[in-house]
Amino acid sequence: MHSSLVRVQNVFGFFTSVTFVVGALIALSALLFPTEPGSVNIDVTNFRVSKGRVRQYHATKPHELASVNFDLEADLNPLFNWNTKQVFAYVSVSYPGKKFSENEVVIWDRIITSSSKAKLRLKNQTPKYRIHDITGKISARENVTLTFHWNVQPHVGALTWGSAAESEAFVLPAIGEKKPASKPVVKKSS
Amino acid sequence: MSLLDSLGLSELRRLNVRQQLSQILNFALILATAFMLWKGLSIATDSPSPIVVVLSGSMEPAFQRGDLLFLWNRNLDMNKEGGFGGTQVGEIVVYNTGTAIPIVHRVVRRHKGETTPFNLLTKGDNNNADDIELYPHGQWYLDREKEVIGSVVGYVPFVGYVTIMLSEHPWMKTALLGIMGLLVVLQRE
Amino acid sequence: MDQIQSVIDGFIDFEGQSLAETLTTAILVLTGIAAFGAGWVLSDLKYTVYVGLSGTVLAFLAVVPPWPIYTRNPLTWVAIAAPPEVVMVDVKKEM
Repeated sequence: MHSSLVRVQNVFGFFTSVTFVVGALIALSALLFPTEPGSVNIDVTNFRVSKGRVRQYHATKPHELASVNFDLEADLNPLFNWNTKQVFAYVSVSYPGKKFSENEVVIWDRIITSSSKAKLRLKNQTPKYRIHDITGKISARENVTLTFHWNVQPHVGALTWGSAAESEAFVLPAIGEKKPASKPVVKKSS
Repeated sequence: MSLLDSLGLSELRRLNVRQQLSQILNFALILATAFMLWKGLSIATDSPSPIVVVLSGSMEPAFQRGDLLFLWNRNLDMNKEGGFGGTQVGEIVVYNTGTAIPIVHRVVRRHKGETTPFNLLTKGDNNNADDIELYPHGQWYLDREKEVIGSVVGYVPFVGYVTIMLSEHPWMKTALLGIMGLLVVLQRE
Repeated sequence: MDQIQSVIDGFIDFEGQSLAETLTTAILVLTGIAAFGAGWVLSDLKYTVYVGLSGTVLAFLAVVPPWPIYTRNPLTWVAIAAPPEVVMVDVKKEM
């Protein structure tokens, strides 16, 4: 500690050690907070299959695209604590198929940066993204379900994911057929 | 040789060489340990690059340039076809389609089949469109096994910014060396 | 020039070094605890950052410049009297 420079190095070195420890404690503190949101409810209200140009795939003929509207109610407030930087909420559609046994497509997402905006209430929401299947065909698919997911992004530490409220299975119509909501009961998450 | 013996310096000279070699060995040990830790982490996570620095703002507000990400490339849902089937939509993956820099984006679509590669489509949170434009021409999806090097599981802000600054402003390296040199000169020690 | 040189050097005596070391540890550890506590109680990480950075700046200011309290016990060198007599001795080699 004989010269100023040595003391600068010392203080800085110990500062990085303290920062590391405090950072680790902050990351660990996330274990003490809830990891599930409040009530979540999701409901399909409307779906439509149409043919559309998909220029981005440089395809010559139009592909089939599906649009699924939904109701969503979710209280994500419990997920917000001092270490929460943002919550990424998203809704996805899953369905099986012949060539591809598992398929899942995100149709809607939202970035929530504070707990004041953490209560979601959507009615007959139009999806942000239409469903385009890898085979180009999405009409008359059976056993299609809607799921709500969330991803918590911390200020420091581990990221966490969760999902809830799968809707009951429905069938996507053939081209052009519009099916209004004749919906079955929705499974509610705790 | 006899001259050195008579001056009693031969032992000293041998010690010096040994000391020099010992120093080199110490330095090599430190380098080797660092390398082992990195490679060990790489094996544990099954990722060629288990820690990456965020380079672009396409995932804001979650990730900023300079943030550090910890990757995990082992999926617990190992199936017969090769083991990467566990990647879900919403996960944030780092991928490389043969272009220079790897990209960190979120998975928005997955299509898994028995005899086909596991297909993923990605999109940056801060981008309006998905990543089709970033894939090679004609490619619609990523191959999980071949092109994805890991999924983000941990996050530390800011600490990687130094590496970005040094690589994007090479004059800073010279400035840093200059300052260090100046301090050595000014110090009387 | 000499004064600037001595400030840049920042030499302090041994008692001062021990004091500087203790202060560094104490200030930074307390800052760490206070930073964590402030953020925890006020439920916002930005307070942790503010308290943490302020405490670190305080540590630098308290310890790096050669304040007078670090130079209160200067080393007392033995006064140099007349130079010692140089005695010439014949070294007889035994070998």
